[in-house]
Amino acid sequence: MTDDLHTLAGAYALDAIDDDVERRRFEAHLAGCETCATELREFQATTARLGLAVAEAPPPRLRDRVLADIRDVRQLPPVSPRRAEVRPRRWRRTVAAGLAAAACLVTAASVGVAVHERQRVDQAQAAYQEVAFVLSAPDARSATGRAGGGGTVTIVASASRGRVVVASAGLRTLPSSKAYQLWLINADGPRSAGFLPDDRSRPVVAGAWRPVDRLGVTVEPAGGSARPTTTPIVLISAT
Amino acid sequence: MSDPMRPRVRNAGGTAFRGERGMPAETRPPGDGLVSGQDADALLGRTARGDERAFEALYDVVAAPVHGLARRVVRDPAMAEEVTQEVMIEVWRSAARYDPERGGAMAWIMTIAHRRAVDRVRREQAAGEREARAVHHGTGAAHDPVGERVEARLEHERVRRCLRTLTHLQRESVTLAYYGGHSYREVAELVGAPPNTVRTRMRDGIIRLRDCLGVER
Repeated sequence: MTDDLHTLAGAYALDAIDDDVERRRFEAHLAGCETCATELREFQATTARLGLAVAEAPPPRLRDRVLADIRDVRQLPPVSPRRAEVRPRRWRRTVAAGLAAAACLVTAASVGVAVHERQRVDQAQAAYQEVAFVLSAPDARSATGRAGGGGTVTIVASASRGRVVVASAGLRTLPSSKAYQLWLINADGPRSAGFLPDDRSRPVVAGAWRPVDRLGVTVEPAGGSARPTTTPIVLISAT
Repeated sequence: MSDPMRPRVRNAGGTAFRGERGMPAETRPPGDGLVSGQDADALLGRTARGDERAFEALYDVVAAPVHGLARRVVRDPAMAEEVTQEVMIEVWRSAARYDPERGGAMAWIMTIAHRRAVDRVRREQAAGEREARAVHHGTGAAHDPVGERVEARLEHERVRRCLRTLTHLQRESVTLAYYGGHSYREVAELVGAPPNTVRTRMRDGIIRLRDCLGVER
């Protein structure tokens, strides 16, 4: 690891990195550095003690409120544990870029969410969890394609999860009458997999992905097309 | 500095000492970190399986640390309550995502809590509300009812003692970031040191704290 990133571990554990790019760089680095991840865990256990030392009971009404609230909150399913152990080394490197890209986009997605809009926060979190669900799969594979016309599209796909995360950067801005439509393409032909969001910084998760599928992106009328009507600007295979 | 856990220049541009007055009477001991840590591990495991009673018991173990931390960081009592509520709901939601091999439940929850509190502060800052409310206080304010209340307590005492083993700059860097919710760049501004130095001191400071507190390695 570079000294530069190494010294960030303390600031990261203290949530003292306010520059998203810098934080993402560190997180991407963590994904491939076992000793750094271990160090960070120790750091977090240490900073937790700073928190424990200033404990102060909340008003009793909060307890009732929280216990009432959770009845309406669905719990997330577990992700595969021990993924660090089963994850082959090579995968970590390959996927680090994708992970960094997606994590960055996820961060971007959650920034600017209005404080009191609980629902939007929940949606952002749900989207984040959905992305994390794919990224954390032991068999996740990532690939990046350069789009004709500029920009890149990165995918992280997992056969075991049956999903693919699609993130883009620097794609040409389209008029509001057009949209970037996603396709999963195999020998049987293309199937629509939704759109890149207007907020291009947000990654999307497309379901029903199989290892034989390639991901294509075409420019379509804003409402979408049943079949691609233009040549894909990019075509990516994750295998 | 009279209390190493109370950053001296914390209120530069912040909400000053809004939180200092009218401490709630029900302030309770933080308890021994280890005991509640083990409780929290078991309870979080049951919470992950949808056990609402386990979550209730978990709430009783972790609500005070979570709220105390939120209170320290965001200062505003109403906001601290909101942050605590958000954190506890997040714990319920994500309980199954907790991986015991990656650290204790208490550390996991406190990490979520700190992040939420800091996010809240940064959003407020971005919205300009924090500045609008800022009152410029001096560096006095040594009187700290919360600190005095918990001072005798074990965890507080240990942490205090260990914070004293840090160099001045290490301690300021760690506490301004952790309790003050400041980024390392802001800390650099506040203490008048280069950002690179501050982030190095943060890491060195945590390492020293880790070793002093005997955090499992």
